Amino acid sequence: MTVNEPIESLNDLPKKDFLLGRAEACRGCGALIGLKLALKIMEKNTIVVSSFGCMTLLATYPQTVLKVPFIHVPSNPVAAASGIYHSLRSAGKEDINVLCYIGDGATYDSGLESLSAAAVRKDNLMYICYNNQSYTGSYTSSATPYGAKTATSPKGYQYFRKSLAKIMASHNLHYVATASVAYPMDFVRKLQKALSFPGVKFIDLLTPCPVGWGFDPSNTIEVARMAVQTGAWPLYEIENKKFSLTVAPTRLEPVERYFIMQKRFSSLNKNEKERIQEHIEKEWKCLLRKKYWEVSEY
Amino acid sequence: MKEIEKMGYLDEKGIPFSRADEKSDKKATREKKLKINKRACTKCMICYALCPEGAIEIKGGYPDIDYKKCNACFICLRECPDAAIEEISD
Amino acid sequence: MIKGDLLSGSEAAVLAAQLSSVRCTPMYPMIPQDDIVKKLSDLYSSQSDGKKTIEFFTLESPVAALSASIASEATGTRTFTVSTGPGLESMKELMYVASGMRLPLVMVNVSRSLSPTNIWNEHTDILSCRDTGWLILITSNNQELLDTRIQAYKIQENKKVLLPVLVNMDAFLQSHTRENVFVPSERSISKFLPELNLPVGLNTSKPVSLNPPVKEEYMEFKAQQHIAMKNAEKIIRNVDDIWNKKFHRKYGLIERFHMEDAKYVIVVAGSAAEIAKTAVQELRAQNEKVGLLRPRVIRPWPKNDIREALKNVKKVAVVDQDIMPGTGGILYQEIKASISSEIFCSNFIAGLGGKKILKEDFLNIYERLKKSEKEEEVWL
Repeated sequence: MTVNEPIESLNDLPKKDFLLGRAEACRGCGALIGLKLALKIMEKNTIVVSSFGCMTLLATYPQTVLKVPFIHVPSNPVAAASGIYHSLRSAGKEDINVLCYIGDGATYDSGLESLSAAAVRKDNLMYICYNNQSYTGSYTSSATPYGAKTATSPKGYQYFRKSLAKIMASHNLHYVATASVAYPMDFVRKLQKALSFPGVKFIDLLTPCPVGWGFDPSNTIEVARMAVQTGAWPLYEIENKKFSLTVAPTRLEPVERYFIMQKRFSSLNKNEKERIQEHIEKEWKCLLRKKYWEVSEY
Repeated sequence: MKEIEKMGYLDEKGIPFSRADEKSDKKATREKKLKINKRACTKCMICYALCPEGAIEIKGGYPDIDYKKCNACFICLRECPDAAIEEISD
Repeated sequence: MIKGDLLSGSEAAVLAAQLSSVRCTPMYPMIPQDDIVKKLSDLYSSQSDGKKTIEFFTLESPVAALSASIASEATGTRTFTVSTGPGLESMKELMYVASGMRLPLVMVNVSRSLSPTNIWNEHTDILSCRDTGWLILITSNNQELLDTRIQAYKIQENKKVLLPVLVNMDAFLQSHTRENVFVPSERSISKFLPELNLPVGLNTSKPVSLNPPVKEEYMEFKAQQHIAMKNAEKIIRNVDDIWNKKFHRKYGLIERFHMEDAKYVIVVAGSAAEIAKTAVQELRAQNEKVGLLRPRVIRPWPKNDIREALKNVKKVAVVDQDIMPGTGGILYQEIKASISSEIFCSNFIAGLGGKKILKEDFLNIYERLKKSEKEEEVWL
């Protein structure tokens, strides 16, 4: 059963781990932290569904690192999760949770039709999108921020990304939120709140990628924290259409401090950085007044 | 090279699936070694929560590094608010 | 004589699903298989809330329907889905996955033409799935559809096979046409078909990871899939014998009609074979030595049966309701590769895009076959 007692501090985190360790992931991978925390809360009665992406490498042959059932479906993974939910319902096993732990490539781009349809059908799914703002660290996706250098945008990405949390909020879901691995208590509380609602629950988790973003693996948490402190990744939740910021720094750091930590922003010039700073400040003012639909995120 | 007539049918072993083996001897590759200084540690559990490989366990109330799982990414050293984790020679 | 029920192909497919205790049906409606979807939807809403035996739900695209079926079957629930023409082609990516994961899943295909835009009957869609690793069976009447669909579970859930099955019926000619069908009782089917027991599945008490990435051992897994498909031929024959003993209907891997002393043979698959049989009977009444061969199982291809059946034949006419642009008919290539090169074999392309095939067409085919000096490809 999922852990329902409120978790007040990191000392209250359940001690049992459902990942064996020694995964074939890069050193300092942010996505592994998210999966570890999610499985600690959701516990044994969980089936994990994933699609093509970094987390495919967790379940290698012949050994896997997951102690819960896992299925890898290349295409339309949310439809597969719906299939599991309905078949468990027909067998009377409704206490088993379905967790979709899917990357931003298969959420923002190719899997969006399935996610949208599952949200309308109100299937009981917990959806966590581990967002490293690219396809496995190397190529642009619809979640890549303006100015980021990748293999398919060598001079910096020329477009502003979309904010999927706001799109999912318009599907009348009970719970939608954004989170970051640098704030584990915030993420765990959001997870527990989400699991108490029926229907599709969506959390967009920022997981920095040392290989793709260009920083030393020990700085993963520092980068994720700076994204929130500069306003580049605001943390909020929309619960039954009510918006609230969950981590609000009293004063935003200049976004330059976020850019210098990563090699992927090295092609931005001074004008572009000022433009981005203005954009973030305008967006922050709207978010403080709870008008989240008026500005797009950076 | 094998003739197809001579290859046997393996039943369940012919299906691609994998299991978690808790008793596996596989060790993570690491270049450096880290150690937690229990006298400086205030048991805030930040290192335990943020380790990507889950290599930090709780033993006797204090966090403890499992060297079979640690791949020395240094996140715990960076994030410890009390500077209680240090690099030691292997 | 016991009278059966008047059932269309869609009704027979739904009835077979009920008889074999199918529990989960993810669907995407598309003409002409939307009749099956409508009937399942009526069945689902007519069941009272506490006693639903079939979990029916619709999805947003054909690929999503197959994706949901794969995951649902992996949890150990018998699943059923439908496909047709363009939907089948877009599902092909996941068809390889379902076969590679060795999941026993049954899909009913209502064959429909692909391009140019058309909703009528053609066999190109089902025959283009020969490489996916699914067992493929093409039926010619609704009785055979009901029987084959129930037999399919027994064939594929055998531990030596564990491969998905595609059962085909013709659009509108079978799916929307009512024929006389004898329906077996629920009790006799539950004795014939035990509960599903997957060797490997999504089970929280025995957690496994399904469909992991594989490198060194890839060729060995493929060899196992290949051997399993070869095992299927024997299992299909066994199940056919058991069915014959219980219900007195036998089908086999190929159907032979008036083949004992035939010198000229017409080869045709699908519901057009029923029309061809009337032509063959008429010709036999005029003492012509003509016979009919209907391939029922397309994968695993019954090479030895076909070679044996066409051993002493003078000329063969293969009637294809499909086309491989640039090469010819698909069945023609497969038949020609299975028989001796000395047998004269002509190709006739008919019925594409739902063009009607009548008894007179088969009589003309026979006349042409008798007169022709060299092998030719003729379009009707």
